[in-house]
Amino acid sequence: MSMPARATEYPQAELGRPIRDESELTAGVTIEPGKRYGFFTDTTLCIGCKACEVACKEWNALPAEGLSLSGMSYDNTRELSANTWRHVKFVEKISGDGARPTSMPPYQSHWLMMSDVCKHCANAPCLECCPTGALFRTEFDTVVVQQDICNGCGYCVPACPFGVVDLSSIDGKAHKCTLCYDRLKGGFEPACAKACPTDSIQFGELEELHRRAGGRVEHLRELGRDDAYLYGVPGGPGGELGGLNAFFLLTDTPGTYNLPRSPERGADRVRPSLASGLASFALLALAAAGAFLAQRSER
Amino acid sequence: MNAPGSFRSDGATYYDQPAVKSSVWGARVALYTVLGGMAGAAQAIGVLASALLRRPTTIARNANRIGVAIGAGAGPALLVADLHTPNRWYNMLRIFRRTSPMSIGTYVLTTFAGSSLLAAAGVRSAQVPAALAGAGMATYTPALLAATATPLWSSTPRLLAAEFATSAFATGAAVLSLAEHLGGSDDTEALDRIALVSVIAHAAASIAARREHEREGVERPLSEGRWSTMHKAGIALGIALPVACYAMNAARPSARRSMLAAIGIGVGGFLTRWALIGAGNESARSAREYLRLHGGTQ
Repeated sequence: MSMPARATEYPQAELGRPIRDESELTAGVTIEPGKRYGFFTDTTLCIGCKACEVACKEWNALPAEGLSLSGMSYDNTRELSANTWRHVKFVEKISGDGARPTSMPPYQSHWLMMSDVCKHCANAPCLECCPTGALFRTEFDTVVVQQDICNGCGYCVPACPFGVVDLSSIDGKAHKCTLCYDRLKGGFEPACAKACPTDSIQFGELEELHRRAGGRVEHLRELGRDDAYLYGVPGGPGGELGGLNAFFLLTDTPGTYNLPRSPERGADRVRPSLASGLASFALLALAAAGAFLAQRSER
Repeated sequence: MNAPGSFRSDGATYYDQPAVKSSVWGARVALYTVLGGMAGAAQAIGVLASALLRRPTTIARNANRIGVAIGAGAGPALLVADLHTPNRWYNMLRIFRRTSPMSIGTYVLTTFAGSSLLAAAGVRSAQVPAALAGAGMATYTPALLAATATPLWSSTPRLLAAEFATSAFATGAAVLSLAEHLGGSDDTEALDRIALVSVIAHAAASIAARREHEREGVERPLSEGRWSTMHKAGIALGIALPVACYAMNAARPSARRSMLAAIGIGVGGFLTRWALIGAGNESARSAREYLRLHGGTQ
């Protein structure tokens, strides 16, 4: 088959070799087991279109949840849940006196928009507390619930420091973002990242994403956005869990986005709790021994 | 704080939407934690009684029976019923994970049930394992709650554990005392003394936990609303009533008062646990309290 003449005007469209993964074309990254992958969500680029929410629902065949209006902003999704694995938050910034501002800062004007998702923590509290091993770390360094193992004990639900994991009332199992485990295996980038029209959601290898995000923060600061910072990078805010594989570029306090500044690892509390409980128990056992010995000597 | 329906985010939270999810646990899990702790402490007291009392005693036998009824009966039944896919309960036994108190608890309960069954069948060497697993039964549940992101539970891991363990010991002594009375023996002085000491220790742990909650700013669901009412009722029945009964018994012993105190400890213990679990779930719904606990809202 001969190539149309026009096509030769675009040599960059020719790869010159077979395409291994579709993600090479859409995200510039090949997907190989053993490497660490994640999301870099740059909130300064988010326009609040919710294409990520829709793409996620479509690819993962997730049912709709309620059609009511929240009445608080353009956010009618409200939260991540068993059936919603991407959630765009809309924060309207109004000054303390309630007056609407008359000047516009660059990027997102007076609306902060943020596409929230499972953070795929390096030390994931959901995974660390799962008693069945249903929650596991994949070969792509993401955290996934195995639906054929989960027995719906619900422990991961309150354990998640970001309120991500949820039990489904439909099938009685825990559900959350899988970072499109099935797509990664097929060489496709996750549906939300592919659908994002502004590249606010970027998929890639974690190191490359960290590098890219660091450059983006520097660039924004050069442009005068001194408040830009990364959330979920080791050493920074939200980095207590050993880093988040899905991390964010934010321009306001973590609390503004409902994110804890220092999320904690629940497993760190197990030892102190058990030690204190067993010590209390042992002390009372000593007291009990004393009571029995006293009774013996009385008679 | 934003009024309900306010359209403005004040920068402290995201429109006061919850930042973490509440647990799905309620009365059933509260009942399990009380019964499990009670049976565990009863086994420990039973071993001590049979080792230290010179004359033969029915305490250890009763403790074994309680251990079997709860460790191999009511306990697992309550837990399996609380799963959202109960026919997969055995997946709990697929792995052991030391970072998960629920996984630790699975094996503690299994050991407790097995050793209690053996001890009840007359295997004397199973007594001590049953008592040791009993200590685990009384202490793994607060670790389980403390390991969540729920503000009320996670803010005081040590004191929550002390509260649960002391309450478990009180209920264990109380149920054995009650069993003695029902078995026709009114010689429960030592058991009642153990229950009294445990109740006082429990009161001290509760007061310390309360102070810690206030310092961390997470005490709200325990100081207002229905969980607060239930918590107060639990304290009245589980602490005030037994202390009063035992104090009166010190002057003039009465089997009826001893039984009343024992029932109060059990019912009060259950109400307190239920209130702590319900209040914890409510505290998880407050983004403000959660975010304040984890690095501030600004």
